[in-house]
Amino acid sequence: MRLLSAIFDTVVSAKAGTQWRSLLSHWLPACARTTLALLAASLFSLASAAPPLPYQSPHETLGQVTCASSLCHGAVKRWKDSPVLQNEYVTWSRTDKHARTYSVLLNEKSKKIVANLGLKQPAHEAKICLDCHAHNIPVERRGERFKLSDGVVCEACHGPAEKWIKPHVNPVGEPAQHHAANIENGLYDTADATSRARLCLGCHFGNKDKLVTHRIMGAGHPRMSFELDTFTEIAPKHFVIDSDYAKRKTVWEGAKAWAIGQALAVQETMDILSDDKRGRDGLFPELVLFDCHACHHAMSDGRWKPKTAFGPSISPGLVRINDSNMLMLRALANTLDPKLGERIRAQVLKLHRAVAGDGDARVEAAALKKLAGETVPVIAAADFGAPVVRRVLTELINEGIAGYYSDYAAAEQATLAVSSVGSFLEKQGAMKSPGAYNSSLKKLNALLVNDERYQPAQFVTQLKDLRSRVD
Amino acid sequence: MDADKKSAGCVTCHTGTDRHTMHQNPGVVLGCTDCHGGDSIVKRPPESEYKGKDEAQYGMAMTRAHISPRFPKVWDTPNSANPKGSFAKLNREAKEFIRFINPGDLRVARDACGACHLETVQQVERSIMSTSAMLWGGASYNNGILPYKRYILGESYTADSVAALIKNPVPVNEHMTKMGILPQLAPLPSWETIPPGDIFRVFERGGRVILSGFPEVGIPNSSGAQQRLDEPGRPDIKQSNRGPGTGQRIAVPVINITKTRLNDPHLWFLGTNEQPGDYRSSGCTACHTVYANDRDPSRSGPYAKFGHEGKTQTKDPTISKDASGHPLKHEFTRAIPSSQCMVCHMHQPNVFVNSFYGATMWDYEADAPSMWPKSQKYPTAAEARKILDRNPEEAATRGLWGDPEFSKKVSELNPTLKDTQFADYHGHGWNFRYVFKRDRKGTLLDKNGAAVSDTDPKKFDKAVHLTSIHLDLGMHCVDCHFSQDAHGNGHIYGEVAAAVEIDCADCHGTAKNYPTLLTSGPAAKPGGRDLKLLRTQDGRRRFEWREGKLFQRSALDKDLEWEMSLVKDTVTPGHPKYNEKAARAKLMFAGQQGRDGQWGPPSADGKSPDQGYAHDNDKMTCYTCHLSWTTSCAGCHLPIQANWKTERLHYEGGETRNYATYNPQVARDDMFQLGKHGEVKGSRVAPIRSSSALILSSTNANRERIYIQQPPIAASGFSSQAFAPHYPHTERKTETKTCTDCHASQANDNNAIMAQLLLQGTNFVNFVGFNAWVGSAKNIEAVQVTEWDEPQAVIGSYLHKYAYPDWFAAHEKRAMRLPDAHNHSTKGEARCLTLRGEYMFVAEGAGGFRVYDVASIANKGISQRIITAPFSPLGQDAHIASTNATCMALPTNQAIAPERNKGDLMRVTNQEQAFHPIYHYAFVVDAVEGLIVVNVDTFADGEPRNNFLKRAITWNEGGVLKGARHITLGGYYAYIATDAGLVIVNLNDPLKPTVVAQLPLRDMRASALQFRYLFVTTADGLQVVDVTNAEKPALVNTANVPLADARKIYLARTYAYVAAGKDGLVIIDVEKPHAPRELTRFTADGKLTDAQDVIVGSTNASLFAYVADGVNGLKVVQLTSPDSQPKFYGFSPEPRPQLIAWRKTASRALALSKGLDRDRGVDETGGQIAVFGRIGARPFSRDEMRRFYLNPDGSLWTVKDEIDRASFNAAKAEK
Repeated sequence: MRLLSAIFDTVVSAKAGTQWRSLLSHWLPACARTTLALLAASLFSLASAAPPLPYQSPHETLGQVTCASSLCHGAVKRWKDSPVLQNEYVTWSRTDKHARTYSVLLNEKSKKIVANLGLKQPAHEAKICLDCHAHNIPVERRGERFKLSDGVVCEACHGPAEKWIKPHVNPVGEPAQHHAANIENGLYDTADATSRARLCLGCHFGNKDKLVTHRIMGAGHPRMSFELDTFTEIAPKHFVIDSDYAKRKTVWEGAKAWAIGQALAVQETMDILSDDKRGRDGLFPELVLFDCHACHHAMSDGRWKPKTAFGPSISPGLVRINDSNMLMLRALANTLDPKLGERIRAQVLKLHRAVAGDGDARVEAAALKKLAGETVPVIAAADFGAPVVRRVLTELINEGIAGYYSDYAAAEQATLAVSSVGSFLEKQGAMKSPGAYNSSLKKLNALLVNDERYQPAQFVTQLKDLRSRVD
Repeated sequence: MDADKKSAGCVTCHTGTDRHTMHQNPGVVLGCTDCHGGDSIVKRPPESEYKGKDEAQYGMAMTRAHISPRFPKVWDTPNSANPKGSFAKLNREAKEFIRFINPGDLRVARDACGACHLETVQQVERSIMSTSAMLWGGASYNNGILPYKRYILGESYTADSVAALIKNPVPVNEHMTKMGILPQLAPLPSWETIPPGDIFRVFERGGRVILSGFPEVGIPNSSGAQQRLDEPGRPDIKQSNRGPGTGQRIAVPVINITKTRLNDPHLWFLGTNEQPGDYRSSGCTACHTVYANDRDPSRSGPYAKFGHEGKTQTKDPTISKDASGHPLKHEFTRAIPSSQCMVCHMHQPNVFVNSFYGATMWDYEADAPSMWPKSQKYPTAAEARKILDRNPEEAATRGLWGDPEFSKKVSELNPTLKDTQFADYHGHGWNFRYVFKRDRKGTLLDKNGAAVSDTDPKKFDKAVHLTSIHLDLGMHCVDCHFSQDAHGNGHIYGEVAAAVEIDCADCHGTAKNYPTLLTSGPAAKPGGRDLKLLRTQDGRRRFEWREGKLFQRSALDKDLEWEMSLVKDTVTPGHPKYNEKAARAKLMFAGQQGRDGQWGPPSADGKSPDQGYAHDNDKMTCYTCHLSWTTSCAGCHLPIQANWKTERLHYEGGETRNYATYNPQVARDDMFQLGKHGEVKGSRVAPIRSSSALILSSTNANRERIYIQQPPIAASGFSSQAFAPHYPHTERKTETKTCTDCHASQANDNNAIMAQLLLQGTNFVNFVGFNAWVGSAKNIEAVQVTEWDEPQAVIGSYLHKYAYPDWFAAHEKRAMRLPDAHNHSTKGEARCLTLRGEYMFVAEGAGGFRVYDVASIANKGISQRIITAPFSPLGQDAHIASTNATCMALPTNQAIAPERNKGDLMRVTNQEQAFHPIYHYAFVVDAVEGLIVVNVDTFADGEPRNNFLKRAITWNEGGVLKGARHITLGGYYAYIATDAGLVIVNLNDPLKPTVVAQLPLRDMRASALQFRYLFVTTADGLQVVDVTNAEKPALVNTANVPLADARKIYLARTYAYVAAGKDGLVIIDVEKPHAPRELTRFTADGKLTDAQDVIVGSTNASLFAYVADGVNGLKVVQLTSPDSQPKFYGFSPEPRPQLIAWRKTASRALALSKGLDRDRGVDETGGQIAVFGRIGARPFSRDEMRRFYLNPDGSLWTVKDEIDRASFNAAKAEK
């Protein structure tokens, strides 16, 4: 919770362009892991061709100081005549939490987590922590000025610079070709939404090499919350998408990025669920995949309801899988291809039942993963113009009004989604009264301040208000 | 790739290199010729080899590939080492060649470094590291050459090495002016064309008969004989019959700047590359490429292991590994060791890197037996020239350290030394001694403050070496002074203090706030530099907060970091870092509560004390207290010699005649003085050091000494015995200043400390020159007491023995009699005399008051060297007849010219305060007539034809001064000894004296003043009068040292020296003025038996007394020497008198002229005497001084160093 609130604090200082971001600063969820969003691996066909993530790259990482010169990316103020801001290092250093991920490992909380987990090494030396809290690459790939203690550094996202730094500093040929040349030399293509989603989700959701398990959560790790488009904004982002950017790189609409992210997140969840190793923890399945609030509530709560967003509920007393991304995906599909939406609904329901013992969860997970995979090209092909975006937004809100966001996790993910999608609509100038919308959204956020006091009925009421501001 | 093509030929010989592009950052893609020029097509002929450098083929290829110099001999082509002492020779080379040897040179850096770092290159061109504006500006203003305290001179060149004027990039507005930014700097004209600032007699109008050699074109009388006609009665010693700036009418300090190697060379030239501490390149490369200069890791960091002889570690096989003058590697770095900074920041006593190291210049005396040859050296002119080209101190031509092979190993002598320890760097060929913790008496102290015995063989390991605490942590200069402090911020500055970005509080915070890590010094950009962004060369973040603690990582040592002391923590009770002493100092209340000793944190609701805190950051700089010692240079001697043809080191170069050596005289580490900094530093209280106090001499082509040891006068009319606010860089945690260092102590044992602190002077470091001046029954007389050669050892002294063994032996053979003296008869007993400039002011009894011209005292071309009538009495008369002029006093014996300190230029632009009116006058007391006030400004106006004296007033209201026999001035109060006792006269309006107090004393003879006490000699011996309030003097009843025949008295720090007639010299400990204690009576085994007067002065590290011994003449007494008193570095070591020389005078010796005051910048009533560097800086006013120890009602308040917990008290909220 502190982590997230701190992230949002930075939003304010980073001159938030739209109000919805500052709204999030009021929003302090507090329990365990809910994952939200974004994309992850792309289409199956693309997945095999996906470039290695920066930590997997065979190249050497040169170190932060290489980028930090005031003549390169360490300018205190942005340059007027440069295609990029040139103050990226300063932004990172001053306000980006990635600059402090390592030092967090030195604090009391981290010591406690490590002690609870029974690790022999301190947090700042433990691979399990460093894999996400730093650019934890093998020693032989660390350049002479690389510092593990810098946390998540430039090259942790942009790829080890050994091969690309020279053409990057002294580009050859036309500007339009520079970016491609750099990528060829090992620059990680963060401009590509799918790649970016894979990169961010690697830590903020987990991938085959790293996962914040229920054990880590249990040891005291703060709750994680993520949605790519939102988090890109609040990092804060150190780039500006303008005509110059468009000349060199692919521009993805934020809403589409969000959409693909949902699909990939579902895929990743299914992967883990069906993986004997990652999906199990002793006698129990990996509990991080399940809805926190299925267990984390008072015994007297009696919050069980006979209905879910996907159909009749499984029976009371069973632990329910966290389906918030699936909800988002379905809402998307309902908009773009209602038949697909219905198939998703049916498949998620099957999965829920299988998880509860009625069927083979692994089979149903594989089927859902496949279905999520089918969604990606639909999303990619869709025209995310204002009408479509508006329909997505309406669908998201409608589902909520229909009472499908009875869980905190779903409500949280939905709120991030309506923020992101709404913002996109606003940017296109298609929001009638952005002020009214944002003010309503702010109230919606306020309902999410405490996950343990979440009141679904209030949420529905506020969603109705929000709905009236969309058209 | 293109870059490879540009290196293709080069790498056929230079087969290996450390950093291909000099940069560690692989993003920089360059070929060799991108930076160096040259021809990369040329390849090593396959069959030739590097070893065969002289081989024709190889050599030819090299010549074609390289750029050849115009002057191959200067550059020792084809060798690549930086040549020794190249200075302005660089200006004579083509820029292509300069670029070839150093692409980072500022003439060509725009084409190399500037391709990316243009802004930085421009900043560096304008920075004071390149322009040297602070040195030239200070020297020209303090020595009266130019009247601009906003300096106008600075060094700069075009790409073609043409002297250039540089302008600030933006117009300088009023705010920028206040911040010390200058609009432009002009090049320095050649010294031959600059008029003298100093108005010495030889520079006055005249000079018809001097054989100047000027052709007299167009005058019928072709031989010029008619023009040379002498005027009757006017021996013409003037330097030129043309105007100023011709012949010898030039500015000597400017010769020093252009020809004598002082602090220079700076960034426009290569280092001199001739001895440890001198190896470096020029321009950008000067700092960013490291050379081996020092073997001490605290100063050279990881480079220490590479020695200190400027030898390389490069992989490049073509570079000689044995030749000095190569960088360690072909590599740029920001991990720059302090030893690299020291190459320029070297000036012996007062540039900061020395003090940071806990070192100051050596004084020629400590451990003299190890440093001087056994048999006296008589250097030939050629030998001397060779040494002086490297090292401007003339003493080096006679000492062992003139040999660089000796000097580079001086620190290896340390285990065998008994007086001091030497540092391992020797830039300029100088030697530096370490400063150790001592008590006020000079006893070495260990870290717990316990005494360390002088005979302990491990004493220098046990005693605390007073380095900066920052050095002890492993810090180097670059750990505080980041890129901007090195490069400048792009504006032109004239003062170092104004050009600094960093401030203590930026990293340590204040008592109220934690540090921001944003720079806030005067030169910081708006908002400051964010130090959190900085990274070391090897990539670590320099600063990091971790769990409420702030850490800094070393710029040089990959494995080193340290936790910062946070002031707020140290003053927060209950915090683990809480330090009660620190808390008391920082939280001492201001106002009456503070004077009552109350201290403590703000109240619970955050209210500060009613009047704030006494020692707040906006009132004083942190280093006012957090210094362990301050370097103070009490004078340098610059003797110019016309017959010495030497090179100009700057601008056009070339040889001309005239050269001046540079001879530091007294450098001490025991002087702690305070004053006000300029507005650029918030006009806060800051430490003050003595700086650039020059005395000048000139020997003309006929070897006539046409003036000797003359202090010039500053452009502001103040004395050139200059002072300046200063950041000593000697920060310590324990050895800081404490309560009794600045406020009157409860034990009343710091009277001398207070006199020193407030810059009133202690009479300890006073300069007695070549001659001691004696007033006698029928004469005044100059007795030569030192050698003329450097070091100007007192004849017969400890230093004399080691520096001049032959001459010392001759002196012993003469039974210690001084051989040379000159005198002039007087018309009565000369009982008071004062040398000021080239005039001797004398009260000579029946002869009245007379001013003698003593300018030619050492001029062998003049037969009567002391004269009353330099020309016809019709043209001048420097005499006041009176009945019985018993004594006289000048407000200062420093040369001043009050008339210069006038007008808007001084008052507004230069921010100078006015002279007090007493400084126009001499005050003569006559036993019959009373007080005679005489305006003596005429002697400082450079016009000899108006030197007439007349009485301004004669005053003796009601006969109050009947029998007046002695006068002491303490600011505008005069303390006059009369028949009835002490009479105190207020001279605030010098022409309207008023009696403010009278104190009956039995036959008062003389007096001497130190801070709150007037020490008087009477028929009862030594008595003490409390003059805390001069208008209410009180005899201290407890204080009386009975003496049968006490005559005159002299105070030097904590000792009073009384000339006690037949009892000889009586030395009295007056550390506690209320309880003086006789230390010793010194009669030199019965040889000193008619003591009438005594003065004390310092020469090098030793203290001397000069005694007017009545019928016996003059006695010279060595009071301390390394032999007699191992504690000689103390603030006031106990004197151990030894008679070392004597001479009978022409008549009975009665009086002595006091040595030139060298630690007196202000008088007791706040009148400024000496020039202050830094615009707006000044000594304290009278009121400001009084606040250190007086309540508003004039009563005394005191302090003690022990903590009184009862005084701890949170501030009460205001009602």
